[in-house]
Amino acid sequence: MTVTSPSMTVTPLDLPAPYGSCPFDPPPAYTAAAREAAVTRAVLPDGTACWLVTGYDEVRAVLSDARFSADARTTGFPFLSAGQRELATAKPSFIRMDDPEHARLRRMVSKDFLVKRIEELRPGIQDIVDRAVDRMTEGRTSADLVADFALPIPSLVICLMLGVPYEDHDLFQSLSRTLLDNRTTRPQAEQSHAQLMGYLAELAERKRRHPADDILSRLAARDDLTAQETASLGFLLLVTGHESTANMTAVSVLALLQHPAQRDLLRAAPHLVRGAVEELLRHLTIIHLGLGRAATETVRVGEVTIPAGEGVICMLSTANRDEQLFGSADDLDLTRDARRHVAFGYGIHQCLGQTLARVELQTVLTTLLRRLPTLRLASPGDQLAYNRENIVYGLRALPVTWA
Amino acid sequence: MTTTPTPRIPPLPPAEWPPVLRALLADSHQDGPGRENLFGTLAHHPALAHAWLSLARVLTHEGTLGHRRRELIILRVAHRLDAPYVHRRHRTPAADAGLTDVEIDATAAGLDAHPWAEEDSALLEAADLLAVNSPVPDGLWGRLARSLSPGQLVELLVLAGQTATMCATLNTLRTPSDRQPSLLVLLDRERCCSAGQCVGAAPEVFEQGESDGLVGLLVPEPDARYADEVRFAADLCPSGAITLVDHEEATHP
Repeated sequence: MTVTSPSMTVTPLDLPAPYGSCPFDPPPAYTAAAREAAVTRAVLPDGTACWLVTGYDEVRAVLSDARFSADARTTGFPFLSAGQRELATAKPSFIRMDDPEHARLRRMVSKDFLVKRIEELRPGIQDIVDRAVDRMTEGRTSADLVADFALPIPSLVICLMLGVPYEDHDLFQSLSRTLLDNRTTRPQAEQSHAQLMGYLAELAERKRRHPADDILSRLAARDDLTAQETASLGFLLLVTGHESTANMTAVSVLALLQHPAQRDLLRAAPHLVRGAVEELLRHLTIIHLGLGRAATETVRVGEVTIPAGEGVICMLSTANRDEQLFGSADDLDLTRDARRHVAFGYGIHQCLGQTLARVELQTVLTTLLRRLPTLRLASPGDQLAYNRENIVYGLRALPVTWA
Repeated sequence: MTTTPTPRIPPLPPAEWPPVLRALLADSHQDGPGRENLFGTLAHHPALAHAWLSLARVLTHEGTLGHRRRELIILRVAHRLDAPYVHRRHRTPAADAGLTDVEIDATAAGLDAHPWAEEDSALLEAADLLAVNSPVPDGLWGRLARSLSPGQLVELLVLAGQTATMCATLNTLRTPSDRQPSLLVLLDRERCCSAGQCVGAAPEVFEQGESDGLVGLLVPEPDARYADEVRFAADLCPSGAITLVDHEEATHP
């Protein structure tokens, strides 16, 4: 290994690093790496060396630089597991493509996620959230906030937008969990991917014959998309649409319950919710394992030269704890201006559904605080189980009560 | 079509100003068109610039007349001396001081054309006379003294004189007006990835096209009011689709 900076004298860090005691903080090894330098060396589970980018400016620089490819088939692209390699390389969706192919496919669906369009959905989302509270609370005083609330809401919303029957949620929820899990083996990933793609291809074909007012129908009707591309777009929207928002919802509620002063502040001043959601996104940064890219040319990033053909992992969570940008960055402070966070990534691949996610989170939090003022944990906070192996960090369950 | 005359003494660029002036540039953008050309002119004489600014600071921040009276007098003197630089420059502070657009426009017209309140018209008549160093008749002095204290009256005279000096200086030197410190916003729609960050950060400036979802401008040349949010939007834009060209660069390519 070439030592490219005098400061880089420590042993390369093994990825992924274990978590520390605080469920909301990045693994301590990443924080330590960030303190040492904005770009450091690391080793992937398969033994390949790569670069760990932990600084805010450097993360933004890599993610917005076209010389870093998001295409997992590029030489040097870093994988945290064999399952990830399978998912990203076999039949990639546009988040694993570069422009112009990425832009062509992203633009097929971008109009459905414009700020104005999503704002129009706000009343419908409020309705879905209200009904989810009704269902969760009807005839009982405790529930699992993940299964009974956080997961159904974004699933219902994205199903509605896509035109996927919500009755099939067991199928796509379990398949996407498998696909996003780092422990998933290559054959498992292959099989889950094929199953979900098959389901969506069949659904798209039905939509082509009997179109409705939904995204899948509009995609199926296009003659500039192959059936495979249509299914792949549907796949991406369905998986990202429910998984990340569901996890963010549950972790946000937990964070508020464990920061009662912040919770009370938001309940007393619900108009703070927009800024509060940005701060929760920053503080919690649920894409805990980072975003991978591969250098297609030799690129200087900060004080380091990254040779062509080497992989980098951009750690959004440490970038979002940048002390200079966000003073007392480890504190959750719902009143701070956190809008410069990179929880949705950066560059041309930045989350297309971010406006939808924001509206869902804003609605969920204000509604929960208003309707269930006594909401609290039903089991000790230190006994909660987290999805630490998942690309999207989250809780397996969140037992709550409002009795 | 008007042509801009060549200034007799070209204003110095900010890089060559004394620090005391440079420190004021950012603040001067906060309340409307900047004062680069005035400061750039004063920068030829740093000691004088210092004295000038001390007086200006007292009149602006430690004055006893109140913001509305002060801006009325400045606007009227500027109009009377045909100094569009000063008149234009003071539109925003005048609006901030509570003058309506109609009143601001009326300061550049005949005094009968607008139903000015008694004190306003006394101030405006006084400004007309003081601007050209004409004597103030007893009748007008009495009307002024009815609502102004001796300190305020002294300040009124000095303020009118200071404004007149500034107008005469800029007019004589043919110093051009500063352009609105608008930002030239360049959009690269090819790069736009429809993330919507710009609309979130500056909803009054940016939009996403109905037909293609790509970034567009609601305000072609956003003025100083939007500067902060436009800069914020450009910073948040993940795809680099928004480029800002600052006024200095735009005018001196």
